[in-house]
Amino acid sequence: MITGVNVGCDVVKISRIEKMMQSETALKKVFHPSELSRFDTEHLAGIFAVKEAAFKALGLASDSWLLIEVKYQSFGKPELILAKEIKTAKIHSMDCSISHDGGLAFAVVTVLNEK
Amino acid sequence: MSKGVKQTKLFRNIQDYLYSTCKKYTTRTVFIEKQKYRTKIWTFNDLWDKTTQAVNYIDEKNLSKGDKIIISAPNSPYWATLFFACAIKGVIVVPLDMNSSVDFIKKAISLIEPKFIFFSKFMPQAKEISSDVIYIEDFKAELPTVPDTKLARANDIKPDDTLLIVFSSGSTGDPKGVILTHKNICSNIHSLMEYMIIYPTHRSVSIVPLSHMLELTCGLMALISMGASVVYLPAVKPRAISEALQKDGVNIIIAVPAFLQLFRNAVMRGLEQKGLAKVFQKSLYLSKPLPKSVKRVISRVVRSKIGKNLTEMYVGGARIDESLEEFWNGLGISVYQGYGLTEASPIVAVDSPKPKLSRAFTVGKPIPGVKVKLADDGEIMVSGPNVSSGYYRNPKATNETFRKGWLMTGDIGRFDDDGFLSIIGRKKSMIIGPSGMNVYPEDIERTIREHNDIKEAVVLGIEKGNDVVITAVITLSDKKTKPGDIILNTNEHLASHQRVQEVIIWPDDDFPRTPTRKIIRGDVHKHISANKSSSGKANDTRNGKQLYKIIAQVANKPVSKITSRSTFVNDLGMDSVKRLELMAKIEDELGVVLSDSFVNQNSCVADLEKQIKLFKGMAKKKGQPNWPDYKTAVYFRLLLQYVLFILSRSFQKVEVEGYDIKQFDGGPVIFIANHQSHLDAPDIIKVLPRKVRTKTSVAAAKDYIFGNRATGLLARMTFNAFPIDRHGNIDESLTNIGKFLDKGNSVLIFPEGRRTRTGEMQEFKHAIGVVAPEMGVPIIPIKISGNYDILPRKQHLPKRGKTTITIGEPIIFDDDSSYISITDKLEETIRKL
Repeated sequence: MITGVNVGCDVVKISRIEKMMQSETALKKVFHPSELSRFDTEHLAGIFAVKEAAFKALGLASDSWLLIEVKYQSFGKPELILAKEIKTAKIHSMDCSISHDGGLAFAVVTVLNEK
Repeated sequence: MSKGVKQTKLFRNIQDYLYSTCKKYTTRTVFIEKQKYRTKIWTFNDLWDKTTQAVNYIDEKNLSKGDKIIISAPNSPYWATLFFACAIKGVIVVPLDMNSSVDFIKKAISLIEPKFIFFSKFMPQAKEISSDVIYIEDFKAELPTVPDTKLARANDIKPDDTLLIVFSSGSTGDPKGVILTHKNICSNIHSLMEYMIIYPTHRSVSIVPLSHMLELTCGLMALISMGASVVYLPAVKPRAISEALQKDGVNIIIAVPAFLQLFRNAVMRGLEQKGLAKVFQKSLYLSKPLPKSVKRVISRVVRSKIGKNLTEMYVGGARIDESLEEFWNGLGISVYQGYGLTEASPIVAVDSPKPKLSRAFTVGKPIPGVKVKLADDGEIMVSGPNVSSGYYRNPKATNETFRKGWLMTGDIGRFDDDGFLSIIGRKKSMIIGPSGMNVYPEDIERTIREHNDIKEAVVLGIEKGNDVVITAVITLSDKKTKPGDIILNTNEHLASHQRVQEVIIWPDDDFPRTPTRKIIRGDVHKHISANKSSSGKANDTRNGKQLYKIIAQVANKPVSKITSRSTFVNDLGMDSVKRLELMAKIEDELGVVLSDSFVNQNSCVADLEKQIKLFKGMAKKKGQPNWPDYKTAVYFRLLLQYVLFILSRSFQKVEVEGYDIKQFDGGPVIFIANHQSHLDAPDIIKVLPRKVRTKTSVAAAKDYIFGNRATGLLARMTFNAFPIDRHGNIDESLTNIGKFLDKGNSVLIFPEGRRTRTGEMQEFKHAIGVVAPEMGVPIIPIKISGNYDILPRKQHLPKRGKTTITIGEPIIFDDDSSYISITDKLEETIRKL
């Protein structure tokens, strides 16, 4: 039975991620190698935003970057994959969406909770 | 001068050089490639094989003789491999400094017309250049998949074929590309082989960028031609260099004076903190007349801070202060100064360790085969097989610099009575920055004048203590313009070593000029220098703690605004992006790995300092002892293990199924297994072939097994165990695992992190997903069943029973999977065994 909904959103300036892309150390703290295989600023900014949004929606600590993987389905929709360490027992389902414009990447994550 | 000649044969071309070198030193180490957690050793044979593969790689890219490529990437064995492969194919390499501005890179591209540009992914400029970019990281990843079919011994590369085009300065004006042939470089290597004393036991760490001839010819090619080895760091940072000096047996370095200065400061800071600076200065003075060996004994304690093996430093690129040379010589670390320029491949003269060829504070004598004479005004003129034929597509500059077979260096020099050369200064106005990079004021002036509000500009190198400050003196057409804005505006268009550090507004309406309207630079310089010393600005940046500097940089605030009570979120405005940047910087520069999670709404700088202290305290204890590797310890371990096996036989029968490990012959691996009981580790060890068993270490919980001294010691004795942190600090665990793999040991890990409570396998900790790809070794999965019934948690005596150990096929992961999917896959695999 669905007991409630949580939502999280985040916005990030794409240029700031571009700066981060100069530091391998910083990148490796946030992105999985699979996410880095497309080394494109907009793409990475979107992943960054959606992970931050997921922290908010799931109530995760702010350094849980590598516990979430963002995968793109063949038709371009992003999908969140959670590490097993994140307790998903009370999650019914979740969804996310990413958008870019005006030098910004924006993302929103919704989580449906169940008993 | 030909006394003590080691080698008489001159290499015909780079292939001849590389082939002869690699076939001479075969299985000796040539490169030590430091990765974040692992250290990869390249032998000379490996270098030849990889170069062969790289030749095939550039064949696949349709590059052929006479084509050009640009390389702008951090120093690494792959840089070297790509360069050698191009040299063998006759492809001309154009190395560019990684700090070149986008403008400069674009100019170089339009002049050179390269077929490909090899950039590092992490260079911000790479995104601005759209055409034919190949990331060197991709080259590295693709190389293993390229066949290494044998190369023809003979090739059609002639000594006079072009090998390199090297830009002699990062100038924003019209770049001048120095043409260097195979003969130029080979002759310079040959001369250095006669003049330097290098043995295969020598090991250096690569510091100067390979885009500079000092590093390419001397730091790479000359050193390895005599069998020496070179350490390449993942990033050339002071911390990484000092770690290499201390732990990787580096005994020689080739560097620019700025580096020697940096390390002197570090040594002196350490002594000052202990209140020993004065005693040290005195002993330095008193020990002056003593021989090097005695000095080294006296200075042992001080040297141990910078690496006790370091004995020699070759310095080039800029003049070195006499006091700096004296300092290092006083410690028993010999400094040899050299003189060279890109146009001379680059070495012209060098102070040699050979007694008759050495004199302190000079650049030694011209190297064999190179002629040096002084013009009437003292300008140094050079001729020899190492001298370039001229600048690429620039006959005007070529005619000015190369006259009747002589290279006009523009430097003023002097010979003493015994023929030792000293450099007095630059003939032209050129500024030699402290990093040894040549800065041409004219280029910067041209850029400044593009600013509308500026009438005229003169750029000078103003000496301030030991530093040279690039100072722009300007006259304004609009008096309201702020100098700060001008700097910002100008520096954006300049390479980092060219950036203006200070702006001064000239007090009069115009500069002093000659009758022909030329600005008299000398007068401007005199005036500015005089006023500088009287204003006597204090240099306060050095007192600021490094951490505060890092925080200030990331927060984009002045250091003075940061106190121990500044809060990250409110006072410093650090959001998640900035905090990540901060953590990455702290990791790179201080070597402290922190997680962002401790930062909350109220945490302040003092909290961060506490965390760093905590980490450093733990890091001190992090080192693993050596004794488990001693032969006696290994035999004792085997004996203990046999005793255990015999004991366990009384209640337990162990059966093995699945993959036969004896088939596997690929160096160290990581074994992972589910965890049912304390019997798991001994049982797995038991079924391994003896050869593997003596070289297998077990990862054991830091807080459980190593929480108690006795159990920790026992675990080390019986299983060569090492601690792994199951709560958080993954970096420390990765470092430990990396060290054991580097020693050639395989490692056994239980990814569940603890024994099962129910008999069911638990979820794997996601850390195993990071371990697998980061370590770059195959994973062998193992499933254990039966041990839960024999000796579960909370039970002290075993029951009788049968244990089955099922071994799976080795798994190798791609470089671009996700840590989560790897964890899941490993868990799946073991479940299905």
